[in-house]
Amino acid sequence: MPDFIVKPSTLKELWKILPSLPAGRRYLAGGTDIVTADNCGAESSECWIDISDIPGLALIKETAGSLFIGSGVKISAIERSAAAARWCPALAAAIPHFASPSLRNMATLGGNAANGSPCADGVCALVAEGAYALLALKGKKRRLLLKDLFLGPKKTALKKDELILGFEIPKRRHAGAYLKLGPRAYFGISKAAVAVSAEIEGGTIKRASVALGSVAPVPLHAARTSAWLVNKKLSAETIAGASEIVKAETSPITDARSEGEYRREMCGVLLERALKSLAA
Amino acid sequence: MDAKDLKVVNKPVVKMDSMGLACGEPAFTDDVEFKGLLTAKILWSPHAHARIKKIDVSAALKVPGVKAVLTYKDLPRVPHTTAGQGYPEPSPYDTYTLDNKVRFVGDRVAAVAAETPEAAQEALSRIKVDYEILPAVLDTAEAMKEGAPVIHDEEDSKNIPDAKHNIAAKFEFQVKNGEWFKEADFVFEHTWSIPYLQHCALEPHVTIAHFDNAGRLVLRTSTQVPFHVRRIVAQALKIPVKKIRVVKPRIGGGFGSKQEVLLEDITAALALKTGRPVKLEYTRKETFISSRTRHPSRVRMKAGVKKDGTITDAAMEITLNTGAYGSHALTVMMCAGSHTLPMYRIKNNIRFVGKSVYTNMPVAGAYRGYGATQGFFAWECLMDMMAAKIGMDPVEFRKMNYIKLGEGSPVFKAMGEGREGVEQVITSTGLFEAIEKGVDEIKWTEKKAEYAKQTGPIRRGLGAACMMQGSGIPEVDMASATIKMNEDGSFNLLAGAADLGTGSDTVLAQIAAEVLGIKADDIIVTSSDTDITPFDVGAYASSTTFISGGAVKKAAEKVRDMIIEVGARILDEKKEDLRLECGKVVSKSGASCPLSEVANTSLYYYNQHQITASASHFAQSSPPPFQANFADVEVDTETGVVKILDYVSCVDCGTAINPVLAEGQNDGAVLNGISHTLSEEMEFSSNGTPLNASFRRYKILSAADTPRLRTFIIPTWEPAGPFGAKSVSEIGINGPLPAVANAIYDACGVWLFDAPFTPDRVLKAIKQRR
Repeated sequence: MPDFIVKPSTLKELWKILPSLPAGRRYLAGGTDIVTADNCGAESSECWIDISDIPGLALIKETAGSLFIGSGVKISAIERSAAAARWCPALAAAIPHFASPSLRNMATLGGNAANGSPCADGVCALVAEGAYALLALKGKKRRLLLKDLFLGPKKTALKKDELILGFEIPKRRHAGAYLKLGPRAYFGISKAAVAVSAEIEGGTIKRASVALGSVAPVPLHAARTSAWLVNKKLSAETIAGASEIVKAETSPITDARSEGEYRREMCGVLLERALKSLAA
Repeated sequence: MDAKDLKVVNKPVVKMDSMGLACGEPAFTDDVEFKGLLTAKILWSPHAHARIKKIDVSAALKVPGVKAVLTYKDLPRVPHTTAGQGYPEPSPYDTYTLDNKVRFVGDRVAAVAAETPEAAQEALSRIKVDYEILPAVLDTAEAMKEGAPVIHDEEDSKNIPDAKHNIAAKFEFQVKNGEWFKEADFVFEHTWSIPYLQHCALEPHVTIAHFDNAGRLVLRTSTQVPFHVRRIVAQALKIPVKKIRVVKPRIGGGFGSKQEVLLEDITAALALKTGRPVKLEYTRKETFISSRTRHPSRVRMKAGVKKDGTITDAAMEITLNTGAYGSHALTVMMCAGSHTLPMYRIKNNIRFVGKSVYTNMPVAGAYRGYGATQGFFAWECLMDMMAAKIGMDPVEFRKMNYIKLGEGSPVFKAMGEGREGVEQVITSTGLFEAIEKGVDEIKWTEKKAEYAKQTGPIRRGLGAACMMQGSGIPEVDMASATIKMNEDGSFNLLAGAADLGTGSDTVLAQIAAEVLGIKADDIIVTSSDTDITPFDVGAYASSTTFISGGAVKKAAEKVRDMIIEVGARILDEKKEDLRLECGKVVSKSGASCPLSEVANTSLYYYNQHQITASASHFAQSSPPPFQANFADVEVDTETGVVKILDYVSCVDCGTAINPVLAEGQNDGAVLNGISHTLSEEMEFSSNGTPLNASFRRYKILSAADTPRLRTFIIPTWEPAGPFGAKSVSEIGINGPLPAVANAIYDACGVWLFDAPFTPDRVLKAIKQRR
């Protein structure tokens, strides 16, 4: 545990106190990653900035064109949200795969992204949803495609002290799916995961977005596969074709959780099944 | 006698420590505070094989708060074994409390005791060690080769059969009736393997050493074997047994890993050095790197079968990896054959060849199932292969061949635990009923027909596996108990038996209460304190109910006779007309007096004496419990994911003294086995460093992974056991590997030989078949 934890009550206060804090500081939201990492000695901070009191971060709100999910929103709150179920079907499908029910009561979507893990279930689904990340640093805000937030394992484009305010998902009527292979029912980090969101009109795919978890250094947006699917009939041939393309689009590594070749193979199988579930 | 006449035994009496534990009463080793307690920490070897050329502890001793730093230079050099077994132990004496050589990543280098954990940790980092790194060998086949690094090159170790080839134990046995496989129509030969597996008891290993007011050393420790702890600590540190008291508090699980003297010797040495109470507790990581594991195994099995279903010959060749030390190296290997080969009648030839091999890897030891898990994985899969080849239903094939009531096996006599075994015949078996019940519950016939019509990538299948285990070690295990009567008609039961959370205190109280005609809660149980309770070898080898229960029953019978003696005087009746019932001495005439009156009479009024008795028990046989397991599984042939849909386990444990606890034991054992089957495996780097030494990375199955899992107790009456009881604690863990492997074959025609059956591995096997 760091020597001290601060808990600003507004964003303004946060920016004000930042210069007085030690250099080794980190934001603390649900704490499910950084507290455990600290406990086992995998990382240590001089100071944690608890952002759970900052207003607005824990909100899910709809505007005319988009859905905003605050970075401090608990995963279990997304599970209960009708708006999230309607506008982010891939994200909604990912939630039951996320860690465990108890962890979902603590963990936040912002933390899931800031942690920068290629196997983050919530983030992988959001990448498929075409979400944007809204970031703020000392009053300056920026917006970037979520897929561009990730640079490598545990590496993000976040600048020092930059805070994820939330995620913006364009409101589009679409279907979604999330399939994952893990070692067990709960607390199973995935061997491979596939998220799909697609707009389908009269059996034709109008827009598609495929994201892959645990098969690349980052939650991977499968751009080639996504593009190839557009304007195709959602037929058996299309599904088989997409499955071949997605396998070629990844080159996963072998690690303690799975073998690379198995992971590549599973991207194909899971995508096939995800697309079939959209066709059904 | 029959179970239906019983009043306390065979009833679901509430586990007597359950409420206290549920309410967080201070019960476990670390729940008690000691004034001035020091924290101990161990420096672990970072090398798989190295000699300590120089070790300098001067900087460590200067850390404020550090009270002692021990290296091999500070302790007597006594070769011993950490295996808590009957004396003399059948495991080689190849371990030293601290040595000038390290033999695996995680071996002890030095020990520190300090005022705070932080100071102890700091001291560890300041110990300067100069190692001469030696070539390491991680694989059993490599280790046996000529010219391989010799792991035990020390001259003073004892009972290592072939140290030069790193062989910690070996045994061969053969029954020869004619030419091998001459009568067989089909012969099969395959190899099955099990990896390094961890026990994962929730309470890690922990010991507190302190001194009583007479200056004697007291070890409060999480152990399965308090009396063996006392003996081995005395041996290793060269102090008299009378100077040591071992107290076993409540234990948070053992599963074999606490049948070891792992922490007690070094904690005692630090306490003796400092004169202060010292606590040593493993972290979870330390339990992975430096406690004990299941012996990884390769079992090569060859068997022949005739078209009519007769098994003609069977040969089992097992190689166990015992790691850096030979704890249980011989006995686990023996049980891999002795518990499995007698299971089915083998007409002509039987052979067993076993080796336990040293490597520079973590140390294996006792683990629930104790070799039978490794052996049955091979034997029961082979049974299904043979059945498939001759076109017989695997269940019918088993029914035709399993060992029947009154039958024996040459294996029983030939293979004991580290010495010759005991000739025995089966005196109780419910295997037929167990199989029938299982077939019915899993819907074997209906589902077989239904699954025959399957198409598509998702395939279901059924698998069966039968097994046996032992009930204690015959003519080796001994237990004793003392019972004494109090004024109110309650009794103290002082038992050497070690309750590990298994519920043995409750089971033993039920046995005593049954004899004494009282309720179980009129028995106050004190279990396993070497100063207070009589001797017991400890909780292992599925022995407690059968052996310790036998001692309790005998002691209770002696006490009953003493009560009747006094009751006869009070009631003025003949002894033979009296019995104990509902807390009273009752006469055929209808007269009665309460037990409290008997107690008061004996203590205060007439021929004053304490009603008390002790008794000991050992057994001349080890009646096997039997079990039939059935798995209904679903294999996703595109992803390799195996899902267990239903698992039925029917167990004949004789009379279940406490049916709820027996079911719980079996459910736990089966789930443990399912976790072995689908998920668990310790992984190592190229120098033998464990890579997944945490619950985050070593995946044990959770509650959410528990499939529909049903245990059915099949009652039988074992004449050698207390109230007809046999054992139940281990057998269940042996079922899932073969039952699930057989079900996977039934589902998709693929045999799996290497545990665990992870999706990657299953898919690879499916693809190879295509």
